[in-house]
Amino acid sequence: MALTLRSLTAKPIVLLAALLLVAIVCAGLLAPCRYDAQDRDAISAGVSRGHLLGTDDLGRDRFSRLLFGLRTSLLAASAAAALTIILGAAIGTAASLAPPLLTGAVLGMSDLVLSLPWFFLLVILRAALPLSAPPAESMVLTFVALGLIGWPIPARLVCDFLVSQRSSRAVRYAVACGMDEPRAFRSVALGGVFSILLAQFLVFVPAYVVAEANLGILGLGITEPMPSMGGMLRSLVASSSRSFLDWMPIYVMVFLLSAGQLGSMWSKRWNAIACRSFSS
Amino acid sequence: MALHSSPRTLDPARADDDASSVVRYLTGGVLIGFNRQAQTLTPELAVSWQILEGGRAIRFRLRKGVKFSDGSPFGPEDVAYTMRRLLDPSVESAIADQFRGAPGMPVLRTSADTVEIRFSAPLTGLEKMFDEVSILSSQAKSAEGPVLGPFVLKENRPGDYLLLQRNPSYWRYREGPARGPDTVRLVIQKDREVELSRFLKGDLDLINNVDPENYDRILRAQAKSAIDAGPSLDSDFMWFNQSAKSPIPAYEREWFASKAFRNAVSEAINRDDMVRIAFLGHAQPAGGAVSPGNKFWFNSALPARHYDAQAAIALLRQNGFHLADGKLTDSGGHPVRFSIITNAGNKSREKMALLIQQDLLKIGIEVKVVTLDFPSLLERMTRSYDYEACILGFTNVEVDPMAQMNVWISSSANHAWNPEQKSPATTWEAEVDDLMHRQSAAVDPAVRKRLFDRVQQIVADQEPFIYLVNKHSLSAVSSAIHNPKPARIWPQTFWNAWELQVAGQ
Repeated sequence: MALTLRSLTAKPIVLLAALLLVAIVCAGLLAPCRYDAQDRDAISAGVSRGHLLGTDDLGRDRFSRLLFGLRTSLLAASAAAALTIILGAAIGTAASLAPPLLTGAVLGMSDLVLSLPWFFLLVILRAALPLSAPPAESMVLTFVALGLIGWPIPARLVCDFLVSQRSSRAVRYAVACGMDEPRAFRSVALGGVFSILLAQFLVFVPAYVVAEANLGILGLGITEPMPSMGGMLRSLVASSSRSFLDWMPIYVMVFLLSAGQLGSMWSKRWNAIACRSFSS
Repeated sequence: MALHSSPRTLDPARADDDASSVVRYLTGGVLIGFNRQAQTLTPELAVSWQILEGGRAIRFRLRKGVKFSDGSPFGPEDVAYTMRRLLDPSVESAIADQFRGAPGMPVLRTSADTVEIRFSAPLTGLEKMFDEVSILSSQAKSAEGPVLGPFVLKENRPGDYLLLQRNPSYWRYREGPARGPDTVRLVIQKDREVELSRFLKGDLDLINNVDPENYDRILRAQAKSAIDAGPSLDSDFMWFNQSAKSPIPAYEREWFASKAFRNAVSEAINRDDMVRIAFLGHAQPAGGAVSPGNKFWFNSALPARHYDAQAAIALLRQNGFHLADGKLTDSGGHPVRFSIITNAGNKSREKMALLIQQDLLKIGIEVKVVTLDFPSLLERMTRSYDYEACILGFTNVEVDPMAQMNVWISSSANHAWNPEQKSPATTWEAEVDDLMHRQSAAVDPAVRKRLFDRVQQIVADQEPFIYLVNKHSLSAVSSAIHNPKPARIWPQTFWNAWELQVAGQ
């Protein structure tokens, strides 16, 4: 099935998610006001003509902050997640192709990385960062640090999968049919790896959004008044009185991830394309 | 009511965490009490007292016929024993710190119904110190023995609850007419949200300290239970780092050292908005070092702070700053920008910082708000001095300015804007040092008040601390409790526990 407008409209949820993503990317054009502008006469106000989703407890427009916050967090968390899976895929693949001793060493190192107290590293990072560092710099450093820390899990998954595929029935069958072993391995294994990496990507994106919320306590992450999903989550947790509008970031995030899961069901299509590319 | 942690100790001499202090307060009998509502001293186990030799000694005349909870008689030997134990270095009592201005063991003289305690040096505010000294029985085998307070510990389930029972030997109950509740259950509840839910369900009768958001929730659910006792002793403020040890650029240090700069920043901050938005109306703009909640020590002659961004800009212009295209620069062309740090997790302070950020943007100053975990914040404030401005607050439990000596004395580590000065960096700090030392040596409260009024005046003028708000004392008392008299000073809701009446008892 080709990726056409017709196929997209056949899945309205995915279409809606795509539109939302476009809106988020165009936040600067769509937001009715600056995300940090405080309307001090409209604190925690409800929906109105001037404020489509009302205002927060500092009188800031929720709709603007949601657009900018989603844009920042999704882009940054996606970039960090991409870094994680690229690193994980590279290390995991290298480990699977290496001699068993080296494979064990790499997997051991991944265990070590998982067990290290990264919180203290991040505290040191915060201490080293000047207080006057621009918000963008703090944000980049935070998400790069997160991206670099997360590689062990995808690396292990990729390595374990590739090692198991070496002597899988599918590969043996392909070899028996006359295909050379490396090509057979590639055809069978890579499709599975794409699925694993896509699933991991969809797991890491929200995980990094939540991690950014926690890192805000250290002064890392995306600093106020720049909105972020993490910051909005933190405010939601800290606030004792919550209206349903306060939960909007959660609704949008859940919606986008659900749509992403639907998209991942198309990964079989992508896998097939990838396998054919590598096989030819 | 809830305790947010289990008491670390039941030894009254060692009680320094909140939970232990609650148990000490409810079970301990003291010589001199402090009426938290009137903010005056009251006779307790001592019917009268005399300050001698300018605060070097104090003589108590003890109440007759008082007994411990086990029926044993109370007498001068118990007071002597308590003081010796309290000031014994091996006990490591935090309460004894207030007596450390007179090192060594005091000389104790007792007669039939008097005790005289003579210290090695005069101590200012001596009588008030005895409000925290729970008298122990000299016959008891341990410090957790019989008590003289309104309640006695009946049951202790660590991590769960403590049950206190009415002490029929308590002198107020024997002399009448106070009766007090039969029991007090102190439930260990760390989570304040759960504490609030339990209060609203009726499981708890008191919440001593409520934040503004939760206060409004209680007000909506049970209006009569929400108590706003007015301005507390606490204040929130901002200050600029003036320490010579700080690694900030010299031109920034020059801004922060300028009185005009600090005054202009102060004038550009809209405190009314801060009260309304960050504290939901449950605070008032702060004008000086002492809250109006401190009845005796507050200097009512100080002028109120007014918000005036235009006046702030004019003041900055007069002092070499330039405002063009919405950006403020100093005489050297440096754009005026700095960061404000505050502790993460304190919602009110985070909001205050963001409000200040917007207020200062209107006068061309770019502010970056950085919230840090408390240890990192303290590290920057007290060791590396690597920060530009900070928002924090004082939680004051003492009315007497002696409790703030370590803030105002320029050589002190807690002299936040420029700590541990070898000699005062400015003439006004030298004057404050002198005034604080003189008021600590004076005995006459009127003289001390006059001297400390002058300190408040200097601080209001120089603004090393830009005082922002005085929070209100917010608490919750269920309708099952009759005769509450909520106060502004800890323990706000149960300072008069001996006379609270509980419905159905």
